Amino acid sequence: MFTRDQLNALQEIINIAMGQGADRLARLIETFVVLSVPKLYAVKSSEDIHQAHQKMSEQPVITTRQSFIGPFRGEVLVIFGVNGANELAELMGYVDKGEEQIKEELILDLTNLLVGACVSGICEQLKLESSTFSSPGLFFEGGSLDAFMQGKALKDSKALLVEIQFRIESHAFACELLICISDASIKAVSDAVDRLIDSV
Amino acid sequence: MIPAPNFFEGIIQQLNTGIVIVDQVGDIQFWNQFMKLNSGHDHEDVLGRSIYDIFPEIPQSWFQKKIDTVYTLQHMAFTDWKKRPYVFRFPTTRPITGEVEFMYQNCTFSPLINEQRKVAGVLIVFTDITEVAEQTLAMERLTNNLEKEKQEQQKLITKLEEAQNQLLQSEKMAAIGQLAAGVAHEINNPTGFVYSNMGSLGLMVEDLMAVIDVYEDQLCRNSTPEAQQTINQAKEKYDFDYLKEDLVNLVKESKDGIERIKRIVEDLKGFSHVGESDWQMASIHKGLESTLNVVWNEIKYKAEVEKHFGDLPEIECIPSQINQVFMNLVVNAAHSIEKKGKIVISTGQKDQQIFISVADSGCGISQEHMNRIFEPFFTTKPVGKGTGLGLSVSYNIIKKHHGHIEVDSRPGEGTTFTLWLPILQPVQVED
Ligand SMILES: Nc1ncnc2c1ncn2[C@@H]1O[C@H](COP(=O)(O)OP(=O)(O)OP(=O)(O)O)[C@@H](O)[C@H]1O
Ligand SMILES: [Mg+2]
Repeated sequence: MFTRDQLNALQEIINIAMGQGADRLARLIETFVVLSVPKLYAVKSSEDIHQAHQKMSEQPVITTRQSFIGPFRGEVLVIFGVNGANELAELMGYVDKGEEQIKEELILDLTNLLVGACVSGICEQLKLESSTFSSPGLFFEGGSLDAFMQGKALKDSKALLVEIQFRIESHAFACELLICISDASIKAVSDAVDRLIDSV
Repeated sequence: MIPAPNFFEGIIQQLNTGIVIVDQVGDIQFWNQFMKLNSGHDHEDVLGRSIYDIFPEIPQSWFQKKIDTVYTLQHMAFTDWKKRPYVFRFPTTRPITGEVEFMYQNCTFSPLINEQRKVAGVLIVFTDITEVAEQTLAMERLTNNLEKEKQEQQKLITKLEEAQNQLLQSEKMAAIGQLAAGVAHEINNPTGFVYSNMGSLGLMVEDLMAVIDVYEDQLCRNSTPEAQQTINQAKEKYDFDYLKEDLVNLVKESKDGIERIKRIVEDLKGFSHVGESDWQMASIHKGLESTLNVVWNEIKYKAEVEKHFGDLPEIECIPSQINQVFMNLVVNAAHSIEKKGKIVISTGQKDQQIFISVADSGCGISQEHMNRIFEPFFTTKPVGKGTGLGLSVSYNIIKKHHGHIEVDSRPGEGTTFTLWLPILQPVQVED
């Protein structure tokens, strides 16, 4: 669906977007954050998610999701460890931590931040009209992503998957983002990439 | 229709949705009619004032992080009623029929971007979703209740299964009892005539011997030496002296044997008490004796049985069931003894209760088994030897008799089971 040139350009664009995203996040929560170099995959089935993702697939996780709507359209899955984001309660403005209620709201807040930082950055770089977002929600909790995805066909069978790790070393916290771009916006993305390549 | 200049503001004021605009530090820039009606504050009153002053219940650091998110990331932020029922504590929109006190809300925070593509404010929009929340909460309650009921049912099913197992065991005992009674009845008749024949036979053998004595006496005096010699030879050949003695003994032993058969048959009948599943006044000692006779085979090589019977009145009970309990206890006691030991059975009375204790010098019961021995199917015996129902059935029989069972055990030294039973049952006997 993408040519080699397009993919290379896209990788470059997303790298820049993530750099900016990390920078903004750091300012927001006033802590040094690390975003890994994003990896791009063309996904054909849930099988690919499994492969994209072998490190974490064994462990039980909490996974949230949030969708973004616009010319750039899709869903982001954020994969947390079983502890969620409890370590970050204070950074996120929570006063009394530890309660179950807070744990859940906290990971939804964090999901929203990460998704916002990443997706807005990509839109900006691609010079696409910015997306709007649905409210984040819990996708599933407890099992491994692998077990959960087993046999579930992803709706958009040809999608672009961007895998990013997000890490706050001072708080021993890490999570993983899977940005799934829907089939429908692949054309918008490849057109935008072409425009950028041409303009260079 | 041509929109008037304040046409859009009119729309915003009329929206059945809360709309607030705040700046970077949370000072209020705008709010609509919905906010006014619910908070009681006019637009003019709140303009420029901090939202944290107007709504002191808002957790400030958390809320500020939302505003910062919008400013820093130019990104939206959300709240979800399930995690946080409300941001603004407004009274419920169903003051009469509703079940909750306040308005459930979902909030969205979005950036207002100015011409310089900078964030100029945060637009907070929230909807009243009390209706959905109430339904969802009701559903959750329902699900919880269903789950609880399901667990209760599971408990009942387990109880039912236990009851059924006990019923099966009782039925088995009843069937065995009936079989035993049938066999006993069949054996009773032939035993009867063998017994009386043996009586006659004993007398006849005595008569026969008397006649032979007369023969011998006459022979000594009147016969030829050849005749005497022939007779002596024959006597020697058949060991006549021994024969004479043994014949009497044999008949006597046979009589004893038949007597024992008679007694066992009697006891079997008494033990099974066919048809006697009624409450009646019965003697505990009789029951104990007949039970011991029935299980004698199982214990005779293992243990000597000592009886310390006190004075007991007859008690109101279902004798066949009480005998079943005795049997379970005595057999358990015998099983607990590995080689050779002692079983002491004592009885006595205390106030309106009687007790029967069965003490053995067996292996004892370990602490961790102690609170499980009355469970159905709990057994430490090999497959085929124990079903683990004995004590659970006994427990239920004693409970039905309004009594109780005490256990005292020292591992390695022995165990004492004591039954306590009231002499008379409380007034309504059948439940
Ligand atoms: N007098 C005793 N001394 C030691 N252990 C005993 C004694 N009575 C009962 N127990 C323990 O309690 C367990 C349960 O006894 P219970 O009579 O219910 O079942 P059982 O004797 O194993 O099988 P059955 O159904 O044939 O009676 C026995 O397996 C044994 O471990
Ligand atoms: Mg037993």
